[in-house]
Amino acid sequence: MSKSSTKGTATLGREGKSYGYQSSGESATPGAGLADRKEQIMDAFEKLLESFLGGATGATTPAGGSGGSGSAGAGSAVAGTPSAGSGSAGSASYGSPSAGSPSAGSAGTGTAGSGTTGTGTASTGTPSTGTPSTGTSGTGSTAGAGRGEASGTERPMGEAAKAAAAREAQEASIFSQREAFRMDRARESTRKTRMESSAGPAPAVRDAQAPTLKTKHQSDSNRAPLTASKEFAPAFGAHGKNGASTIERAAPPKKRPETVPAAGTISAGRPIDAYWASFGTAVERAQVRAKMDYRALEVIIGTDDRVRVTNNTLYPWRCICSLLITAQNASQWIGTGWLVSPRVVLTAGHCVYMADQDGWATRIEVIPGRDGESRPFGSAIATDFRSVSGWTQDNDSNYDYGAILLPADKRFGEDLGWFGYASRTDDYLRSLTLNLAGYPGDGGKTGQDGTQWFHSRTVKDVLERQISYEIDTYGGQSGAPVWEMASDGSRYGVAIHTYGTSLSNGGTRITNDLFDNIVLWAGQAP
Amino acid sequence: MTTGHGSIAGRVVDASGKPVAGASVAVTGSLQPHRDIAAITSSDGSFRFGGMQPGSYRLAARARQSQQSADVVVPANAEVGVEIRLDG
Repeated sequence: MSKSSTKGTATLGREGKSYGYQSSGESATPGAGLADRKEQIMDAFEKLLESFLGGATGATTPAGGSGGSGSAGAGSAVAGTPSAGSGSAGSASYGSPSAGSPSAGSAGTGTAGSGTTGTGTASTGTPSTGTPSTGTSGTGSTAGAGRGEASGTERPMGEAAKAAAAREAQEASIFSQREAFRMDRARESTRKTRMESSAGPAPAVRDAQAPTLKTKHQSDSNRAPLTASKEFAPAFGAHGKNGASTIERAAPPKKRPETVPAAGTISAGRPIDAYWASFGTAVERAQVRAKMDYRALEVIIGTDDRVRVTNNTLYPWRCICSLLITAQNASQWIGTGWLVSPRVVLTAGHCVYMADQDGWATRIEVIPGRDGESRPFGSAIATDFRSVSGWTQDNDSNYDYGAILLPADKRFGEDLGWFGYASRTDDYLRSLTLNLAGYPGDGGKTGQDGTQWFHSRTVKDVLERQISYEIDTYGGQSGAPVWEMASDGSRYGVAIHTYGTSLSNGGTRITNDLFDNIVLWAGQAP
Repeated sequence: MTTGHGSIAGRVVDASGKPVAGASVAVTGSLQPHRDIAAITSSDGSFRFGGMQPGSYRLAARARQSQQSADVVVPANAEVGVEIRLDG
């Protein structure tokens, strides 16, 4: 009587929610008369379900679904559940839809249907509300209810079902984001598996026009806890090293860690949601202090003691680039980047990819060492960008970083040099005085467009993937380098500035995997 | 739009009400984290910030040595409009 498919192990849908298939036909049947009546009831129920779902039932075998887990069910649409085995769900289960293909690609288990379905809704940036979640209705284990049909056959849904699915998906999305942080480490090995099996970047619907799209996505395993400190040495280029800096603050003399700190000595860091929870408390205190006048708080924290950089042709200032960004929808933006190799400019993920502006930037003008109207080293028009799926697909601020690959004939770094960069342990970072310079949209204290401004303060807080500080910044400095200057004058970027608030500003911390991605991208632009 | 997030769609005009192209607009105050990127107004003076956490924000627009601020409240899953009029 039931058309449902195999009963089964929970299958991970696009949102990582489990849904199971029960073959109600496998239920025991009593005597003939009762059995007939029962069948009639089940048929009627099925028809009712069909009308509700707006299509025929009869789920096919769930695709892949090697998630196989009770844990998947418990994972409640969590990125963690994918680690049960289905890498595809890993990208999808944040509830922030991939455009579908990454999940399809990475699953390697024929979840193409899921991916395809995901595409339809993914482009809107809303959690997938496709059939699987509807089919589950949160009761995937209920006999007859968990049809899912997520194996690739898309079924039209009734409006009520869509709305219910959307609500459910939203709740699941919020919960899944919180759960994702707590299950971070458990996913590491699964993400590596996903990287290996991934077919590589997959085009999103809205990126169909980008000719170099397939090179733009870089899968990211940037979820490993920091267990080692790495450094990539700076270079001074043909212009050479100059004299001692007069405005930067060097880190206090400190013995660099000579050995890799043992696992367990590294602070686990707090999940980002816990950080914001504590931030919320700080906000409340600040509001009381400010007598509820939040408007008194600006991203310029306290006195504006930013310093204008005037020696833009000197190192490291010449390695810091003004960015004029043209987004996919033709809107324009100001950002900052910094050279980390002859042809790679590191920046914020949202400088190269903005989901709310239709995706990848179409072009970015890179102006190293810009000083107002002066372009001492010229400029380059770049169209080749990099980021990570944690940003482009999941919109996760922990992965807000990216890179600009300069044209082959614009090897700025060869002449100008580049920043070193390093992943540091928590304790090391907490001891640092940080330096930051970039191109604020307000033109700094002088109001002159295109000028570079510098500020320096100690670290405020170190999280697993972000660092906060009370360095004064302004819109336009997204992507700026946040660096330590060692006593020997070496500069090592330790974070990429990305966000501001009225209480503190912060950026994406360079962890081991972010470090590795920089090296990888540099290798792609020799 | 990311679930729960809102957006700001605005326009920068001069004292006479004409749109100002090429003005920079940035968030200068909020208790919510915001991306530290500045928008440049288009030919009709418009700009748009998306993916913003619900809450109160202060925006500042700058053009031709003139600057003006405006406060907005971003709702969840919705867009709020604002017009910033520059003096001079």
